[in-house]
Amino acid sequence: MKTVRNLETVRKKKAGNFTAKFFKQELSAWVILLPAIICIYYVVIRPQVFGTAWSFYDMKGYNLGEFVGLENYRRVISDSMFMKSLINTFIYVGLSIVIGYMLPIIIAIMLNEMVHMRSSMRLMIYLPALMPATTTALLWYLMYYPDNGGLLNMVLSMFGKEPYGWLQDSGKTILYIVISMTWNGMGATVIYYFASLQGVSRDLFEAAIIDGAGFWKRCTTITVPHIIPIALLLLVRQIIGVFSIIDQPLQMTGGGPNGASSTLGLMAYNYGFVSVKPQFAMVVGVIMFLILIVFTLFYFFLDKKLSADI
Amino acid sequence: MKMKKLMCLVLAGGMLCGVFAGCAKQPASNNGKVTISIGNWPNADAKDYEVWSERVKKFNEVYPDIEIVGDEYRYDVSSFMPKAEGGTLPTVYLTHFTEAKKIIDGGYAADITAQYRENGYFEKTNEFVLENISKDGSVYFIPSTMYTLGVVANVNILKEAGFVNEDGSLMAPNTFDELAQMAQTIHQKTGKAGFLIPTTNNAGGWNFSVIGWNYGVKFMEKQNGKWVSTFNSPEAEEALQFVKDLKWKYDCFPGSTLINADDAMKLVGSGQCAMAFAHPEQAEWLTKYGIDKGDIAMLKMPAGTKEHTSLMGGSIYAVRSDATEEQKDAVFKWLNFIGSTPNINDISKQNIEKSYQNKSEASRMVGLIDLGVWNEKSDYQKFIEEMTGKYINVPKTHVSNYNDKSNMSFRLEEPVCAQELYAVLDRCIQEVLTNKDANCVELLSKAAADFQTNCLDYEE
Repeated sequence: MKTVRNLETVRKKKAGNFTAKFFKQELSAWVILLPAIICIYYVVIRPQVFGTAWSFYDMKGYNLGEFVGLENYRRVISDSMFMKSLINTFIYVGLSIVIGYMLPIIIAIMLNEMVHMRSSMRLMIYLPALMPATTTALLWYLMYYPDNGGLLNMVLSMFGKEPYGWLQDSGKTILYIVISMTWNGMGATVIYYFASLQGVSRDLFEAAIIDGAGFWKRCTTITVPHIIPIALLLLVRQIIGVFSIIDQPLQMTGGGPNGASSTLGLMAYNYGFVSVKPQFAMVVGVIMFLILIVFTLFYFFLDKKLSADI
Repeated sequence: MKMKKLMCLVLAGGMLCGVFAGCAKQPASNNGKVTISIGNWPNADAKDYEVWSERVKKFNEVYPDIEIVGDEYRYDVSSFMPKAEGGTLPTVYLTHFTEAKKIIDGGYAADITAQYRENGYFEKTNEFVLENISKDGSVYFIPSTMYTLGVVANVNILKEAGFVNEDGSLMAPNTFDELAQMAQTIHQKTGKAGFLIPTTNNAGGWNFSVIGWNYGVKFMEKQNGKWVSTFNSPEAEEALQFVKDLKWKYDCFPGSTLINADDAMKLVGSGQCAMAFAHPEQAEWLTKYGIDKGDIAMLKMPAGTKEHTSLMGGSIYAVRSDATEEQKDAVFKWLNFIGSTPNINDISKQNIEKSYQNKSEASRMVGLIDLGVWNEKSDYQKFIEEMTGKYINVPKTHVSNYNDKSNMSFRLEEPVCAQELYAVLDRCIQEVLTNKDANCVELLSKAAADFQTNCLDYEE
């Protein structure tokens, strides 16, 4: 009986210590975090939860109507633009990975190997990232302008070639939009990789050089293993970022020609703001969220596996 | 350490205040006064600002119990919903006829039937206007202005191509065929695009619906109580072929065929294209791109093979849905005072004249006359036409064709699913303008089927 009472006392003491410790050490941190937590709740968590719930309701404006079950999902999925937009969105992601994923890694490695003019090169590469996405879209829209006034067509005409339609070539519209996005987003990604590479001890490289390791060997044994975690993180970020693309197709092509550059994000925008059917916009949002969850889980799985291997 | 914690708490408190600062609700009354906020208020740097401030002073001399608060909010499709849901709309805001159904259905406009009746507006409102501002016998909007869609032209390019007579009058196209031929000649003589229609963000479909009506297209019909898509027809094929020919036969379209409504005005205003469909407000935008208002012309919509008709639209005032009865009354008093009313009196006449004077002095276009929202029982339209004549600041020859509304009819946009219709038509137009081999029949067949299954099947 006495032992039980002692255990009880110890537990109470521990609990008391925890409360005292919490107030002493963590309270300030939680108080400072509170505004951020409130903002995240209202801006991220609440819209996501309510959006998911409301996607099962009929709505008039933003006023909740009757519960309609999966009817909204049926309507969105049977919309003739849905499959086209879904496939296009995957094409955007795929092309952005092919064009825009390896390029920053290669450039960061080259920058890391450079001895002279490294800072100037870094600045030059980062400069496009300072431009807002809207400005970039407008700039590239003018570069792609399909008559002789377009910058790229001016270059073509110098070689005696006819003007090309660029964004109006429905088979390649997405490709051209992805190139403009890569130009805009690459600089920031290069800086991430470069910062990661700067964390590698120079001694390692010097030791490898003394052992006779060439550039390729150094890359595969030192550089690449070091940047794999951040490369994985940035891959998921890129997939999430490109999957939600709206700005560029909205401003450069309006989703055209004939839906060739339409995306799920643009579809949600049109449902939400043009047709004012927010319930359908929320359905598209939920579908995008579910697809992205799969990517994110894949990232965690891969990260765990790689961490264990390393 | 204590100081550090105190600082943390103060900082956190400050940030929390910031978080909740935007949640404040606009008061309906202040010290016994009724407060109303008015949308479309000019910016403090704008020339009109002083004029509006002066109006408030004069208004308060007559109505000391009403407090007027200016709000610069202007209706915009993207920002409307967040503003409405966040409760930050002004008490009275200006919107478009085309948005009426959406706003009523969303519950974002107050029922103002009682005030509309008390102020004697019912008998002075044009029948077709009343139909579009009310639902199930209740009125939700106060009509402000009307416009009709026409053709805006860059007179400098028309001159260069020889389409301006010696007396300054313009050679206006009477039919769509004449328009295309004129645009072709302009391109051949000047190297500039002759004519364009925007093709993205539903603007293409909006413009195409007017071309379609003139070619006899019926976009939808109610059959046995159900809406049916009916534009998979030879008439629609003819209309779409006309658009296709603009690019591939007449070669009068600009290089880029993916153009939104703003771009369209930019191309005309900056002298890269001679003509485009526009309403008077859009025509005014042209001056932003370097053209003088005296070099802008407005022409009436040409006729098609079956009809001569154009689209009409306009602006309407809405009162936010949570406005009190006192606020609604105050809104009517304010609109009566500034002259946006069928009951014009000496004070409102002075205000209307002042606004025309300011518009003219601010180098905005004065000279275009449109349909009236009020009928002949009100003197409003007569007075507006008198003021337009008095303060006209553009050559009469540049607006006379547009101002002549005889021998043509006007329609409001399609009754249901208009935006969805424009979206499918946008895609048809984009295809025929970017693909020389596009098949108009197939495109229209798919578009009509999509429109039916995506939208009309769910309309009652």
